[in-house]
Amino acid sequence: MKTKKYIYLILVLFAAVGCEKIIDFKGKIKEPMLVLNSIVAPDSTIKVTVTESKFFLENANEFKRIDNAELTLTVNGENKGTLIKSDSAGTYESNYKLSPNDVVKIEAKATGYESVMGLTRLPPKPTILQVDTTSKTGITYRTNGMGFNGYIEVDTLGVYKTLQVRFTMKFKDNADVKNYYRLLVKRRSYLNPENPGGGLIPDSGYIENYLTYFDDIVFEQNEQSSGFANSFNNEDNPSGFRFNIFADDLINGKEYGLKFNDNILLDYRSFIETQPDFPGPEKTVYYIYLQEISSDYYMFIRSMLSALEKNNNPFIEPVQIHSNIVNGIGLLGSYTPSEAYIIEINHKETSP
Amino acid sequence: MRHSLKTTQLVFSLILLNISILTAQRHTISGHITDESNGETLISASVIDKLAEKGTVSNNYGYYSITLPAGNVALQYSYVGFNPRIIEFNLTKDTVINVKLDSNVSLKEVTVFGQRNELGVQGSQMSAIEVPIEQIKNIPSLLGENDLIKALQLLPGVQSGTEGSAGLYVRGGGPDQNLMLLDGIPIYNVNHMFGFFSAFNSDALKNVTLYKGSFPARFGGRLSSVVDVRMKDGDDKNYHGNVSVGLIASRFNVEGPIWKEKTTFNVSARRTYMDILSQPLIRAYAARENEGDMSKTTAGYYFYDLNAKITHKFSDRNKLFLSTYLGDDAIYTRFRTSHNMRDDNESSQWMSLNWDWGNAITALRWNHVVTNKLFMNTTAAFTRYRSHMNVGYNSEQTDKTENPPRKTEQKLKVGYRSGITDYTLKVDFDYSPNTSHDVKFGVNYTYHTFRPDVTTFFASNNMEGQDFKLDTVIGKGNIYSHETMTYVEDNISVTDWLKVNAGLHFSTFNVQKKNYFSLEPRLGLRILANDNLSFKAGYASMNQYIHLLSNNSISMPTDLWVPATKRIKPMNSQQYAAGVFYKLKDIADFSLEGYYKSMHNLIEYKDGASFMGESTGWEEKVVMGEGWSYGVEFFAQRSFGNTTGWVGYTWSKTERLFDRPGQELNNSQVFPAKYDRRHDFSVTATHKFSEKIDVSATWVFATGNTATLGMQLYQRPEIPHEAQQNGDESNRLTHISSRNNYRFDNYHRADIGVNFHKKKKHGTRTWNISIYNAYNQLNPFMVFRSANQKYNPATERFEENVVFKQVTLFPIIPSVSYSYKF
Repeated sequence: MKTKKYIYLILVLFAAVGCEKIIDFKGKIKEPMLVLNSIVAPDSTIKVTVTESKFFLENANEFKRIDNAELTLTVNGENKGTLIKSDSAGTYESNYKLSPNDVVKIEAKATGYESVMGLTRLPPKPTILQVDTTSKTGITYRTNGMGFNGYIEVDTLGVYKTLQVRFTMKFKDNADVKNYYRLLVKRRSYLNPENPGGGLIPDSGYIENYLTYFDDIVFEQNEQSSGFANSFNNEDNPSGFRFNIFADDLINGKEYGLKFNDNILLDYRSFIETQPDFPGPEKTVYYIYLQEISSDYYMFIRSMLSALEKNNNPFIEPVQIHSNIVNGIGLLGSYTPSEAYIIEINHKETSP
Repeated sequence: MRHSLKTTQLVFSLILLNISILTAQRHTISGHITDESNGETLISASVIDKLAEKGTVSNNYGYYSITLPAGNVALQYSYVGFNPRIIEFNLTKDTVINVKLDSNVSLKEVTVFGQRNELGVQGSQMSAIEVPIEQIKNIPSLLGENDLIKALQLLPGVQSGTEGSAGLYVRGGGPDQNLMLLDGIPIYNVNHMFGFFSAFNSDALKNVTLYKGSFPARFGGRLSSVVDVRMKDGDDKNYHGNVSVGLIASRFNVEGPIWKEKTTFNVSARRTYMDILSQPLIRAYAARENEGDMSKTTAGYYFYDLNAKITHKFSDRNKLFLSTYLGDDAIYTRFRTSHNMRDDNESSQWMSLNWDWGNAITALRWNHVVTNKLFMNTTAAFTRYRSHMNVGYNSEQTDKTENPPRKTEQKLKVGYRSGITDYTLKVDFDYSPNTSHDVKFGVNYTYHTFRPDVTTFFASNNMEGQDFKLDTVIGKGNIYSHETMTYVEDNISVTDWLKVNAGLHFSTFNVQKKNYFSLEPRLGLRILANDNLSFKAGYASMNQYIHLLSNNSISMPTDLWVPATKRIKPMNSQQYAAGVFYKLKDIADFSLEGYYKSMHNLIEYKDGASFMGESTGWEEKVVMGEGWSYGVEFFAQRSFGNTTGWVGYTWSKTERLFDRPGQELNNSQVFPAKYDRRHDFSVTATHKFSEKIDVSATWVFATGNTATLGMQLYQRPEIPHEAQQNGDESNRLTHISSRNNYRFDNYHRADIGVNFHKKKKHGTRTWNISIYNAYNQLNPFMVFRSANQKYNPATERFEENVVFKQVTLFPIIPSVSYSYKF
């Protein structure tokens, strides 16, 4: 009996030995720094936000916006005056219109903080040479069987008719310098006002969104944990594609046909009486922009996405998010967009 | 001109005459030195002619050769822990003397340490330490598992990585920069259980030597260290063995003669049994957590290793060795569920995961005494590391409402293969022309096959409307490379006080039509001030053609060896070392060494890049840079008497710089290496109270590890036309000022162990009780910001409650093991 008591005591003792505990921070507590953020483009209003960073052990749901800062704009070495405080807290603006290849410097001073400075050169304007499309329709059945979830009771509930559009966007990369790009594809789906399929039609008559998934090889470098490792991640949309950025590593100096897809739902026919059919859009219009972005902007997005994905893994070296603000934190980035390349697809021709 | 020619001829004639006179007056004594009790060869046993005061040491196969002037000689054969033996005779011709030394009874159970002739005060080798296996067995260890690598971590100049892991960081190098040799053959993965245990079973081992610098020319291929592990040959007279049962593993070792004093065998094996013990619990848990029939659920992890060696002695001149090592880790899980949702509908799923990884080594070795001055060792070897994973899923549904019943089936199989295989052929020679020269030379050819990663997919589905079948292979093909090396080194006794070890190591590496060459000079000097005091200096240039892709602080089965390529060049290093060695007679041996090492073409991952078992595009994910390390190491050891042990202290600094254009890290600023620690101190002691009880203890103190910590949080910029938001978390970013910018609290820990021995009828049983981290110091493994969102009714907002937390991997861990030696 006594022996049992001792054994019990020893077990309790070991169970009480915690492996995770709260500790005091014994390093140097960092003073708050100025955070300057701005992404500028030709012929657009320059908008800069100035906030204060917080020590990582503080409550950081919100960041203090700095309203008493003095921001100076310098373009190609010439002082273009100070930025004006806007109505929004911590936000400053200038109506000076920038041009491609301008070198922009923004300095910010605020009482109680070290002055900070950012520098960027606006990239040259890229040109989309041509966009070709091919398309094919497809049929997919909707069932209630999930396959991987315990039980399956298979019934076919309806049928989708889709149109897969394959785009090939041609552009020419500049061989002389390292180029960074961002691809933006805006899609407008114009619905049939007489048969919107149960949904409400906006006043504009269309629904607008951006394509988020691109499978061209130039984007592969964004996706760091692809392939085998990714087969364990349940990520349908890897974060690397969110901003659709790429560098010219694989295409330097080439005229390149960048490929991407979109799937348009043309029609859904329900086999269940109580469930409605969904007619697809009458037409879809794509606005394709190729932005050339500054290297800092590119490195910031890449490192930020990696950090968000990986910095919770204790076994991987944490990712330093790129900053180009001297004596502070943040980003002064720039981009120059191409003219929009517009593709219009009328579905009356492809509808059943 | 004519005068000059005449002079040259005269000098040549004199030299030849001198050589012939010397040769005429000298004879060679050679043979093997073995342990009398079991015939085990003694490595680095000392042979000294007491009259001429000249000597040599036996090689890795116990062979020695000494050439002395004709006349009376008094040869003293000695080896620590053994009674020395003196043989006096009149040397008139070449003589073979095989010497058997008997173990010194008074020292038999006492640990001995670092007494090799060439490593101590007298020898020219510095920056090297020999660790006797008995010492390793006595060091208290995690869960009672003796661990060679953990013992090496206690030596000065060697740092551990993550707590409890078996990584070695030698003089600022990384864990992939260590050449781990098992009987002279490289072993690629030296870990079990993600690095918490080493792959070496100490029962199978005879001798371990660690080289940290001043590398002899016979070694090459890694930058930072050589761990030369030798397996036991086996007792040539009697059958012996031991069985040990511990908390997580059991092991046995059997050795003995197959043909007395001719053929011996030695077999050791070890296996963990957590998986077996935990099966009932796993099944009970699975049945409780899941509906349906889960009785066929199994899951577990285990590792095993097997060492086997057969030695056959054909004659005094010819000996053959066949040795093998097999070691694997395995994770497995299988489960099957079945459901009857309705009487007319049945479904079942089956899933399995099998992942195993490990080494296999086989070596056939032939020792041949060519002449009594020339010893040859020829080795043909195979070494392989591989990681295999198979995942399978099968789902079946039967709908009995239809006639005949409709059956649908889904299948998925994924296989992953990676690894490296080497075939090696090498010939090494030991040539001892006289007592002033001990020459080693040899050639080595290795055919590497790198299998970076191959993934196979098979999927099929016969469900109506979703029919498909996929059967494909993804991944690169094998990469083949040829590595050759040749070396020559001479241990020269220039004068009584000056000894020089000079050597050259030349290697080539051919991969994907790219050739790399490396000529690496090596130099070691010893200046003997008196019998107990010497000064040494050393220089070594090293080159490494293979890289380990891993971005974990623990060893993972996805870690992958890849060759240097056209873009990623081989790593190389230059190391300078100097030190003073002092022997305080009957007290202890002391050494103080300083070193400086520069390393080039080191690889690190680009910011944001990571590796998890996939080699495709790895060259694009890494950057090359420089590193350097310097430090001072103090070592004091006592290797005799009832109390033995050592004290080691290291002061060192290790930094990295990645500033090549396009390959910048940390904004091109210097940053401390991952396990850069200013101070490392360890003391290890064993005291033998009696034949029945001995106690050992270790105390370790080290400056805390570095970690990369983002210490500022900030608002992220608005990205124009952002496609989607991830919520508040992605609007708040963490700013990291520089790599490894935070240092953990100092690390310290004490381990203690007690052995209770008792003689039994057929042998000796030993109970071992060990306590790892005896005073339960909660050393940090990682630190992190922990925040809970709480609603504050006063402000009507959610607020964060933020704390700084630390995770400790190993608090106090007691263990007990039982062993029986017969």
